[in-house]
Amino acid sequence: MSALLDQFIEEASDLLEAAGAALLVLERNPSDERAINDLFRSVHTLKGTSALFEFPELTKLVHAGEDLLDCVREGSVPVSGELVDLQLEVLDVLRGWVDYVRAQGGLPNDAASSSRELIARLGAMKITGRPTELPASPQAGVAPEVIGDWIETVSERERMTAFRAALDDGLTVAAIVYKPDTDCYFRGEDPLLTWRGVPDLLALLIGTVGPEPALIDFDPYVCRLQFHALSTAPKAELEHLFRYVSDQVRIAEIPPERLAVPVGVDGTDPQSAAFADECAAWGGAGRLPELRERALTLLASIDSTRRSASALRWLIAVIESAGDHADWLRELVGAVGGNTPAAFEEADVAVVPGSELVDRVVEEQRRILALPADDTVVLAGRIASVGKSLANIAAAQQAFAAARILEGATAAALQSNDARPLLDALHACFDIVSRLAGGAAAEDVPVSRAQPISADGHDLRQTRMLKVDQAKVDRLMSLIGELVVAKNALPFLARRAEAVYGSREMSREIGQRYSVIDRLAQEMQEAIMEVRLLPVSEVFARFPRLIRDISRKLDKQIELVLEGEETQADKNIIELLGDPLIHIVRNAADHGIESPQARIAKGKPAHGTIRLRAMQEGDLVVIEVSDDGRGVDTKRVLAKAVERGLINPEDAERMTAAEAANLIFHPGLSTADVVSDLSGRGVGMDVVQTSIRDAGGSVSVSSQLDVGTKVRLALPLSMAVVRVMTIETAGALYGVPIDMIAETVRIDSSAIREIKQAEAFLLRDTIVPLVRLRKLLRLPSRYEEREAVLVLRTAAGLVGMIVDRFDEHMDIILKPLEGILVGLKGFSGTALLGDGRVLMVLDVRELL
Amino acid sequence: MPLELRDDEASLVGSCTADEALEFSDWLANSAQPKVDLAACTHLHAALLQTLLAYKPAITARPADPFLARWISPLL
Repeated sequence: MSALLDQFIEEASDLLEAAGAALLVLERNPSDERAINDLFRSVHTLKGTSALFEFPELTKLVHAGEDLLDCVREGSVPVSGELVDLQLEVLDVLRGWVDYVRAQGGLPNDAASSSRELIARLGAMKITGRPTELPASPQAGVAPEVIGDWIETVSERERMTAFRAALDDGLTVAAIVYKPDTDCYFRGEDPLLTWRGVPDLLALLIGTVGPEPALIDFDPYVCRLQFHALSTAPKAELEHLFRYVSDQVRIAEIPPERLAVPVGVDGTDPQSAAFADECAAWGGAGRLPELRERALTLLASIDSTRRSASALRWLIAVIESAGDHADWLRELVGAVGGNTPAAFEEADVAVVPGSELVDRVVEEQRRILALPADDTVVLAGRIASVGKSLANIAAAQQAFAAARILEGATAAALQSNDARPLLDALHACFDIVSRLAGGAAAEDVPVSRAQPISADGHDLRQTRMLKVDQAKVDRLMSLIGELVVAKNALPFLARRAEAVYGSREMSREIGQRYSVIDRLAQEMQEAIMEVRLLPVSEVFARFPRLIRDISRKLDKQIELVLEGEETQADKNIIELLGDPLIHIVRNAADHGIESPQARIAKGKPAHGTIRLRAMQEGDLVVIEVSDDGRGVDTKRVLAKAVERGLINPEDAERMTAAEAANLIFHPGLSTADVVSDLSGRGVGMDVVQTSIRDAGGSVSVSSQLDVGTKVRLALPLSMAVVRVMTIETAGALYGVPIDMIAETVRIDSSAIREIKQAEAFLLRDTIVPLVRLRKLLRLPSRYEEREAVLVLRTAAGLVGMIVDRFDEHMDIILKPLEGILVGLKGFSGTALLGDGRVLMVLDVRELL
Repeated sequence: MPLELRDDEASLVGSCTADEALEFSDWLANSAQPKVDLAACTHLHAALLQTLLAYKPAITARPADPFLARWISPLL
């Protein structure tokens, strides 16, 4: 994959993110100029950059989205929930494509069809301001338009080849209608070159559109060609081939019987009429060979240019083909006798059947036409777009004659630069006017125009940003880590210089150099940490959408408040926060916030508030998720915990409210009455707790019934560097994270009280249980006069751990256990020391 | 040079692009009885095709290229 494409993928992801966020702001406040501008800038940039690559479907879809936004900006389409839904859907699809490009280097196979479908829906929304499938659904709109009269003008021989390919070889026959735009040559398009690439082309009709201009006016660069073709290539392959001009091309699969149309000079002869009469009643496969013989004989004796002769040839073709097609035979036999086969006739209606939807769309078009226009260019644009929409509607409703009338009227209106002819045609073709006469809908609604955005809406103040692959930063990070470790070897060297080689001066000089390198290494480490810092807004950004979707789904009114989004933490921490936070926020929205009715009944405002707050506390990043919902019903939690045997009833009685609330972190305890599909079963706060704890953080919850719940996550700012206290036990060096250690004490062995098998000691009037590290690690025991005790903070309170000797404090780069060591219990990782020794870092929680 | 224009006969040679269309149509407009040789033409841009369709010159030699021979030649 090229570097340029990589960059595009990164940028596209960011732009889509930004567009999504702006869209949500816009939904709340449709007149928010900044949101509109942000949205435009993102979409516009995306469109521009995507054009550098071969992703026409993507570019077109973005373009259609931008078009609709343009209408929003102009005020001709209101911002509605449906509009935001559709645009969000488009963004989702685009995001999916970008991800696909990242993984596969290209767009997925169905991109063309989903692009077209979405573009059609965007187009419909643009006309009506409402989502509608009508003018552009491929089933309703495209097929009748593609499969039309022109098929009969394809030569009988070509049609028969296609027919046989369909019936005998089981191929699908695709009809392709390609009407290049008049200015297509200027875009470098060569329709003939495209046709050259079409596989399995069976027929190609080339015609010109409109009246022949006088040669004096002939302009070779105004494309007037149009193409109709048949091909047995798969539709998807054809769509791919025409993907650059997909808006000018319609492709549909033709049912084989649509090809079997007898054509020729009308009129019949007695022989044919007799044949038709005689054979009309024939059915059953048994007599087909006989029917074929008779048809062949008759064919030889009649005028081959007649329609009846053509019908005979088709009759023979149908008989010779695979499959049983009695009804086609019947039609063809009738055609031999001079009937016009009813099945092949196109429904041709001059008045478009109405429906509520059609009425609404047409009324909207009528309104647009009636708008006063002081600019001829604007008027022409309106006429063209209205004419096209109306013709599409007519075609979709099978009223092809009406479609033709409308097309003609559009041309006339364009020529005279007056909307009147089209308006008249509209009244003639759609009978809505009688139904809507005098109604409020006929009023002309003034269109308010938003202030145009200054020059492209581009932000001039630019910071030069460098996009760097995360892996490169990670590599830099680990190199610096190694440098820190290598640097730690210098003090050892200094000591050796003095002790082994007796050179105090050398030792001092090494020491001096060391302090310089140490300072540089520390600065480098800080610098790289800063590069790795990301704002929590990276995680928060997804919540507005999540809350919007949940509140729409659950019919709740939820306001999301984000605070402290600029708080920064290491990228690993930020990435790790995502899933637990989603879980907590979903719980809050799903189980916390009540329905508007319930809230009003409790005297709360109808809309609930979920507040996400990030802040830095020392070297911790703290995130609080609070809601003003129903709160945790501690009584019910306790009852459930007891019922499930998680705690015993005596403990339950002694528990404080806070302790009870924290029980929701217990595996398998759900606080919801109904488990909805949003939060899933068992709520799963235990998963949240596990993943936060694994990252060296902590979770707690506080709650008050009917007032709300607050979940607090605290995580280290950075996971990369861990400050440990090293301790020695049985000749080996171990590290204990410094934040676990409350204090270090030395106690006389006489102060150790034995309680049954357990040991404990008194620390300022508190009994602290004691454990021996040697015992925990299954090493030979050793008892001394004065024991070194690390007092550790644990979930169960203070615990003293007896070790052989305390050593120094040290910053280490913690490497997780790898390979077969992964399963090793009691250790969170290793670190390499300056003298080459390995430090094992204890996972105290697991050890105890 | 894909477009070889003489007094009353033009030859389209090789792959002929849209760039040739204006010169070609001018030539057609100014020739009394234009004749066109397509024998060595391997591709015809759509703009040239529509020019041919508009002026309907006499075709002195049909294209050998299979695509042009099958789909385009019958129209001229």
